[in-house]
Amino acid sequence: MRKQVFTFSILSILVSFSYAQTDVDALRYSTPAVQGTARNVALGNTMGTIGADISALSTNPAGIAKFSSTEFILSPAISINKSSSSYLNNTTKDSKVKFQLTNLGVIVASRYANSGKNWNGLKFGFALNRLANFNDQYYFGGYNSKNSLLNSYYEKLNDREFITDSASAADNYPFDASIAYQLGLITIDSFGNTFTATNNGNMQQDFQITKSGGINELALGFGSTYKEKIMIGASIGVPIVNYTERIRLTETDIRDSAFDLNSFLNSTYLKTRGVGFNLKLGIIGMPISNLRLSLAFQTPGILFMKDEFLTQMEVDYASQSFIFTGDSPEGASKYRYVQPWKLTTGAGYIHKYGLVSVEYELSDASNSKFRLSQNDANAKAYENFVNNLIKEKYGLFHTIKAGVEFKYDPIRIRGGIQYRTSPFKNAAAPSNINTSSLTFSAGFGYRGKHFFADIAYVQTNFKELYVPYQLSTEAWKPVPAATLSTKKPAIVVSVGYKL
Amino acid sequence: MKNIVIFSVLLTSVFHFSMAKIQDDVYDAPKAKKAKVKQTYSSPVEQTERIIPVEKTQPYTEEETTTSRMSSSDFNSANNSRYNDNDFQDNYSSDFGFGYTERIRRFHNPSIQFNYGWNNWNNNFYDPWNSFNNNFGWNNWNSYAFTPSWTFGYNNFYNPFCNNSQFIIVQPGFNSWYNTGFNSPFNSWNNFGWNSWNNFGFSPYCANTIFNNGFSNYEGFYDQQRKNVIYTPRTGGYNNTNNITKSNNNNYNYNYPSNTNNGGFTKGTTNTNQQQVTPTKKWNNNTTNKTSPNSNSTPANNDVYRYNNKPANNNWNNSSSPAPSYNNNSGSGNSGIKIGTRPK
Repeated sequence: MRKQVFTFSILSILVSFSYAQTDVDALRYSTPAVQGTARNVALGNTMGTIGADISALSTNPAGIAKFSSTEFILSPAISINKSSSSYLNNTTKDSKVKFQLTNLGVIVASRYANSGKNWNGLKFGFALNRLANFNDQYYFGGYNSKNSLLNSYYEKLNDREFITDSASAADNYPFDASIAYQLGLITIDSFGNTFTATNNGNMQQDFQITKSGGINELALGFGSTYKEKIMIGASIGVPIVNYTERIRLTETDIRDSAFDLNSFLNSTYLKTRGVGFNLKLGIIGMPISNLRLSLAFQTPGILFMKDEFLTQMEVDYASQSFIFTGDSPEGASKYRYVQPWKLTTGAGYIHKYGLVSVEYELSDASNSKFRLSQNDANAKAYENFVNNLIKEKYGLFHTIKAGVEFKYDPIRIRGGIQYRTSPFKNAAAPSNINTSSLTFSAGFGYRGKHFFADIAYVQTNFKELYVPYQLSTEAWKPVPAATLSTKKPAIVVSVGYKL
Repeated sequence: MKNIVIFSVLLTSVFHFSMAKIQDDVYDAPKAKKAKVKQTYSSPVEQTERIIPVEKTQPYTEEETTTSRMSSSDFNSANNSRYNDNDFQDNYSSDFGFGYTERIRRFHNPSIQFNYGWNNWNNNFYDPWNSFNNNFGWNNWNSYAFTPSWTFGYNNFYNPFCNNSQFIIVQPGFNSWYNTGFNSPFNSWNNFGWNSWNNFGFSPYCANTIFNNGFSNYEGFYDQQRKNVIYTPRTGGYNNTNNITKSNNNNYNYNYPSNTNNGGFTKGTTNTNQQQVTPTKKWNNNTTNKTSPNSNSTPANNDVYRYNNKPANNNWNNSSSPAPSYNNNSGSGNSGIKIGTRPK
């Protein structure tokens, strides 16, 4: 009986608290979108099908076979991340400006084709391409009459299967509930009754979320053309992950609902660094000289990740002259993250007055996996738990891309659009929120004999749901969720030189 | 958007007039490779191919041969003091004898890293604000001056803001090759940092405990004694959906990490010199207008607010709140949690 109760308790906890942050991480790293050069950005990230763009090293490396000469290119960008957050019927806006480098690289190619030979020379490329931009900033708040963060901590510390004495209450959740316990926000009396310092919610909750970083990929590849009919290529990608997240929740007793508690702060900090590799294979067919049919496959990638995280809490009691502070220890975790595969196919047509290109991309976020470095039973159990959660929450997602370019020498005028479906499975998708993303872009370009320059404007719109904590006690539900609407406009400028 | 259009038009206009020939590999058909030109060719056809480039380069040849402002001796380092081998050696070469790679390595991973203190710019030394004329500054290498962290425990540092030497905010950051060490939320030029004198920042204050707010470089090469790291997967955090699906995994112990079942994780211990502070919560009528304890009503099952519930000892006049069981909520001291105070 006791075992059944124990198992039930575990299941209950898993159902109610299974918000392991790492499944959120998995989604973050499984849906990158290559930015690359301004031309690629303006054309809706479809230059992998057309070729002759260094961004192809991170999409379809066969495209570099189209280069006829050595080329250098640099693409700085400025992004303005605008956010609009809705929480408890309050809407607030925030923004963050960030300078970035979306592309840097060199293509080494012979000046002329090898006439009369089947293979038209070997072209090499090395590039740094931006795959993801995590820079976001959100601020939102509202009066929560139903619950508080302390209610979720209460549920942790009120479970007598795990919390059997004060020492376990004080020690077993060093990154959240135990800090609150040691600060007196959660108390347990001598009979084992657990209490909160907040009066059943009734607190003003203010959140501030700051995210920064991105994924850059070093790509090294080669390609060649066979009888001017087929371009093939391969590249090795070395994605470099850099992600930092700060979340501050301040709960304030603005209506004098709590007896002694004025406010408390819960601040979490996460820093993730990682590096890995993947392999991309691509082929572009040219059944007729102006037609392009492309197919590219990116193998599942492996990222070697390292997390560093901590939590800080502060409490202001009316009766005290000091602010009490509590700092968690430094958490550290090493793990491997398996990035899902990606399949891309496309078609393009090149005319003397321009080109048009479309691509379809397929990937499966449920193929993301974590492999923890620890080998003990707990770690393995947690690893299985998170990986199963990933499979249950996420699934296949599709991306449709299209781009068009008008050519009036030496000017190019471009436009593009990308639509990515939601990576959530239907059963796990956030309610009343569309988690697909839409990207539209436009740009201009100049082509000279050696020098070329492009500029592109791109904007990605998407929405996320932010559920700060979860509760299993029905009377306290629902936990208010914030809808984070993000617009990420960016201006990308590419300058290059062809030898 | 208007600026973009204007900028683009200007950009293209400028280059339009300087355009000589367009080269765009997307539209250009592959060109046949030209035959290699060798000076020893003697056939008439090959001679024809040679003639054209020679004619084109003729003006340059003349210009080169008529230029005499710089003689060949100018490039002779032996005869010209402006060019000598020393110009290609930096100032460190003779002083330290380090090779280039060694200097780079030492630059990124110096054996002494000045990352302590309050300020990104002036934190090289322990007492960055009033250091020159006292015994505690950087220029006085006594026991109070900055000392590499592996020499002293952090409780040995002098606190420039308080009379007792109890306080320090340690901000080592992530000191490694991969970063510059200032990634902590407690030390940055934003709302979270020390320099933001708002509700989010902290001010110098005298506390009766010692904080180690920075990461202690858990894989680093220094400061092992300050290590306060728990190696554990990150299990908390927020969610991105309000439709949780049930997990079929029932083996995972959510109570993790724990003292009783830490699975072999290395868990840092709380510094023994740290003073654990238990907040003494008041239950008297203070100046604030809080809701009074309601001892007569029966709270609902979901009412877990302390002051709506009768205390277990049935003593409403207790001047301090009932302490957790065993009258101790500071735990075993092995969780790594550090409790302190700061002025309001």
